Amino acid sequence: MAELDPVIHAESRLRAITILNEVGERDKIAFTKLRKMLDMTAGNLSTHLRKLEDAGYVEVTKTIEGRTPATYVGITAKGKAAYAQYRVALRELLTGLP
Amino acid sequence: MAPHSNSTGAQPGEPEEAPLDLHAALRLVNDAETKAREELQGNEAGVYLIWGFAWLIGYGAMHAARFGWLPLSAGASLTVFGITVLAALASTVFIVTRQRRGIRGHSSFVGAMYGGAWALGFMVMGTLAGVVGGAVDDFWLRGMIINGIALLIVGLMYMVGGAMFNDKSQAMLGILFLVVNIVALLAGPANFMTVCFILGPLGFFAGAVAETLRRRRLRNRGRV
Repeated sequence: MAELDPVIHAESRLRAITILNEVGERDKIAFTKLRKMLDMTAGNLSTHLRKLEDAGYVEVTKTIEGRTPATYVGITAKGKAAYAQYRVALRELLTGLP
Repeated sequence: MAPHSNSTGAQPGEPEEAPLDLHAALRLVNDAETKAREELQGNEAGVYLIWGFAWLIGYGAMHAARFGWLPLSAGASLTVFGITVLAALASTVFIVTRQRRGIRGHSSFVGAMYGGAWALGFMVMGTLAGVVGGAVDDFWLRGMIINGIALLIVGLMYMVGGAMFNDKSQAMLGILFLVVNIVALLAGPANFMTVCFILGPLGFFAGAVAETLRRRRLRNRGRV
């Protein structure tokens, strides 16, 4: 029986990694834009991103844009693979088909 | 089906979340994917509508001057055409810039190069237009040659854009513009504006409809 990755299978992290998967492995999204898209508080999103980062699924980069500090988030190759596996497992669990 | 709970539970410092059942998880993934695509890819249908109206008004003014169904001189119609194209260009740049704000990486480089290709292509066209303007006396023949070059750039850029961004409707529009260009050039200076006035906006409006339907399909796409 397929198993769902517990790091991904939580509402906020699932929504976050879905958007990061759409952004793609070769791009990064500004933390502020991601927060707006997810309609989450900064603290809440930071907590969930840390969990994804600890699992090696996302990479968080801090930079300076002009004179303002900015944080960018991107999915890693490991994160993309884990997300794809999660989608397969979810489909298998829902349809009962391997 | 029984809820498939979040087996990790909330860690210290992590906000509590209700257990996620499988159907809810699938809905959530589909909704988040759709929302992300809409926000990251922008509204192509809106851009096609803007350009459809720009062509309708711009080429409409040229057509009106050519066939006298509006009291417009050829020079005035050219001014109307220039203003509508510039307004559409400014709107497109605003929409694309806003949609790409907050994203960096490979796609920013691709977007910059693609935007640069448009700008440089039309700078070359502008230079050529000056040369053609000095060499060809007839206003409508001059218009056909300059617009033929512009349509060539537009058609090729749409085809390349469609291939680069995996956007079939954009690629199809590129093909359409190149075909329209051939038809319009074969129609000759007397009818070049008629072909552009009718087929150009129709192409853009068809692209807007195709894009809207594609988005709707994406939103309602089958769930397991």
